Amino acid sequence: MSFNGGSIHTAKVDIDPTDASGILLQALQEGLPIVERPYAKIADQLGWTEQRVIDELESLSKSDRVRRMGIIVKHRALGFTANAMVVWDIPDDEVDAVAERMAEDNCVTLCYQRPRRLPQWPYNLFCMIHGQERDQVLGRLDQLVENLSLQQYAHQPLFSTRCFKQCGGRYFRTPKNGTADIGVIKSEASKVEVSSMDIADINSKSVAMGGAHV
Amino acid sequence: MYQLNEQERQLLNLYQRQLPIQERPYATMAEACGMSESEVIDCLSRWQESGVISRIGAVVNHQKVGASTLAALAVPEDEIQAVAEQVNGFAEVNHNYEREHFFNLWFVLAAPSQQRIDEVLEEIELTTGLPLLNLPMVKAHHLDLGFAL
Repeated sequence: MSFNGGSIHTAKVDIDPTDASGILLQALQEGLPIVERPYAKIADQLGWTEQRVIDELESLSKSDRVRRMGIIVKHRALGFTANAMVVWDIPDDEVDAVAERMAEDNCVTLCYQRPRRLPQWPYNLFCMIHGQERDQVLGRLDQLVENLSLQQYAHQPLFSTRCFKQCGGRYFRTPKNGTADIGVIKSEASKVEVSSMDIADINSKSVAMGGAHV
Repeated sequence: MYQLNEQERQLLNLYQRQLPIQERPYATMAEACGMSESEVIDCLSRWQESGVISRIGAVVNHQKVGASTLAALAVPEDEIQAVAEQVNGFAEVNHNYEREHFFNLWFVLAAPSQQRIDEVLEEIELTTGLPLLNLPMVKAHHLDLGFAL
C-alpha cells in the first residue's frame, strides 16, 4: 500500500563511487579524522597527495555539491531535546511567499516544500523548530503563526519522542561499519547540561552563522 | 555533568559550516577560539566519543549530487521498536525518529542515485508491510546550515 505518485525531485547527477569526488565522499562518510593533519591522513588512505584531497574538497564546496563541511552537532545531546517538525497546508499559489518569510524567522532551522499525498497527507510545507522544552517550542510556534498571519491554515507540530538513528549519509557500504550511531538515543540518557549562557539565545542564529562564514 | 565553556561553545558555533580546508585545520580553529590545537583535538575526540557530536563531516547537497528523501510509516504502537530496527538496517537511512502522529516513524534516506532510493523504499514497504509516505524535497527555503548554541 503506497500513497506516492513517484518522485518529484530528482538530483541531476548520481554520486559515482569511481570518480575522485565519489572516492573522497566515501572516505569522509565516517567523518574527518581528528588528528593534526586530517587531510594527510585521508590522503594516505587513498594513495593521494594531501594537496589533492584539499583541492578536491575545495572543489566540492565551491560547486555547492557539499553544502557544508564541519562539526555535526547532536542537538539532543546538547539539551535541545524538544524538536518539532511543523507541517503546514498552505495554498499552492501562496506557499513560496510564506516559505520565504518562514525561513527568515529566527526560530526556524529548516524550511522545505514537499509534496502532498492526498488524502492521507495534506501538508506541503515543513519547518523545524528546536528548543529545550516543549512549551518553549510551542510558544515559538504561536509567535511564528502570529508574525506571519498563518492562523487560517491547518498546521501540526510533530514532536519527536525517540531518536532511533542519527548519522551522516552513507553512500557506499563499508566493510568495517555501515551502522554507526544505531540504537535508541533516549532524550535524557545523553543529555548534557548546557549553561544558561548557552541556552540564552537561540535567536543569535544569524550572528553565530555569520561568524562561520569565511 | 558536562558543561560547555565559552571557548567550546564558540568552537561549536563557528565551525559547523566551514571547516578550514588547509593542512592543519584544528590549529586554525584553536586560534579563533583561544585554545591550543591539542585542546581542540582532545575536545572534539571526547565529544565524538560521548555522542555530543556525530562527526566532523561533509553534508552533501542532494539538489546537485546523489539523492535523498524524507519518508514516514504508520506503525502500530507496540511494533515501533521492531520496525525502527528494520528501517535502521538499511545503510541508506541516516535519521530515524518517532514522532507524535498517525505516521509515527520518520526517516531520511540518502543514496548515490534516485534509483537506489526507490529500491530501498520499496524494500521497506515490502519488509514492514506498512503504509509508507514518500516526501522528497520540492524546494528548500532554509537549508540545514548548522545549529546556534
